[in-house]
Amino acid sequence: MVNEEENKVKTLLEDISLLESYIQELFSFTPLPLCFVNPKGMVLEVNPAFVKATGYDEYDIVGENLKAFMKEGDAEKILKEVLEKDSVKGKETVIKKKGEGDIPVTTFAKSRKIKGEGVNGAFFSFFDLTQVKEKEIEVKETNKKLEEKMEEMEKINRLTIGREVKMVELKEEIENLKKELKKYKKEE
Amino acid sequence: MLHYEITKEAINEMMNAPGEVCGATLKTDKDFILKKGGEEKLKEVEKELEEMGHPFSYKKIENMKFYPWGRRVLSLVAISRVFKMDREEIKEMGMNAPKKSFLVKLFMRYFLTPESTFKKVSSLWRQHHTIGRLEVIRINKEERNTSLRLYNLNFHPIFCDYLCGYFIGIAKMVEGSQVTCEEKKCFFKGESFFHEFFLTW
Repeated sequence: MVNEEENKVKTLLEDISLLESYIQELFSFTPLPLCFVNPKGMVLEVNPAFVKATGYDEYDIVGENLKAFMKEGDAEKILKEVLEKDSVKGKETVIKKKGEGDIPVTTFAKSRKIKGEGVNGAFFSFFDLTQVKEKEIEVKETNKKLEEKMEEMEKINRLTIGREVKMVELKEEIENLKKELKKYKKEE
Repeated sequence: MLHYEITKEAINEMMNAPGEVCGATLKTDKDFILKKGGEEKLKEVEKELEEMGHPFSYKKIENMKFYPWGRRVLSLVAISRVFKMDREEIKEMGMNAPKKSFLVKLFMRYFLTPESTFKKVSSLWRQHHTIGRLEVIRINKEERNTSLRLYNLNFHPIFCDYLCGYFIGIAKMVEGSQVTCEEKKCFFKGESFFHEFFLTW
């Protein structure tokens, strides 16, 4: 009987170990920065992608409030929303990097509920928008350059049209002068 | 000068004493060594343990496997020797331990407030240690403090300092505020037959 119980416990412990390594591998594998926070916003777990993106050490992140790593006021706002509404999708914010530089991100968050106990925290994931933002700036600059070119073209166009009109007017004037000259010649 | 002395006799006595601890706690030691000194220091700590007469490979630790309680103390003493750590540094090591602890992740559900966390410490202790009893004597929500008592675990004073830091680490993770911990009564100082820790946050 005792042996049977011991075997059960052993199997359960092995199962927990396997589950832990599975979660750990999954958490480490994803390239998306992820973290889990308690209802006060204290970071209880982060994945290697979050560590890499922010440049902070795991020891510096875990046990800190999420607001230390996000644009002022955003962490509190998003956390409040996710705890109230269960999930938040696609909120744009900024993650602060260690030292200088920020990362523009889209945030997705999901609250974690435990049956009979209610919400005990929330998962956060961040999609890096750096490249998208860089492309946006590139597109804006190209548009600006294009607009400048268009303006220049219009200017040239206006000038060219103006010249043509002037030519026609001059031609008409020459014709009129010729006619008048002819008149004078006849009168003489 | 070493802050934590231990004799050969005490080591052997400790390793033969009853009581086991969950491997996850030893894994936090491994993480600490790697973070502070990398693979090189890990080898040095393992060499230190070998010199103590009880070789051990940190890489073979299994989170949910149980190891002799003495192993945990020897690990801490070996680390303190390799890194030449004083009491404050051991406390700091304890403070950082919950950040990488598998046990903490497993019991995150209780990490809502310091009160809810410390109310659970007794049962958490029982699940991961086959020796010692950790009890919450009182929790004062208004004054934001608690007193915890550890009974029947008198292996070595290094664990008192480590545990003090560990409690701070736990409370800080939950609350994020300034946390202090003081061992008010200690078995090793002859003050009582238990250890009493007073935490404020």
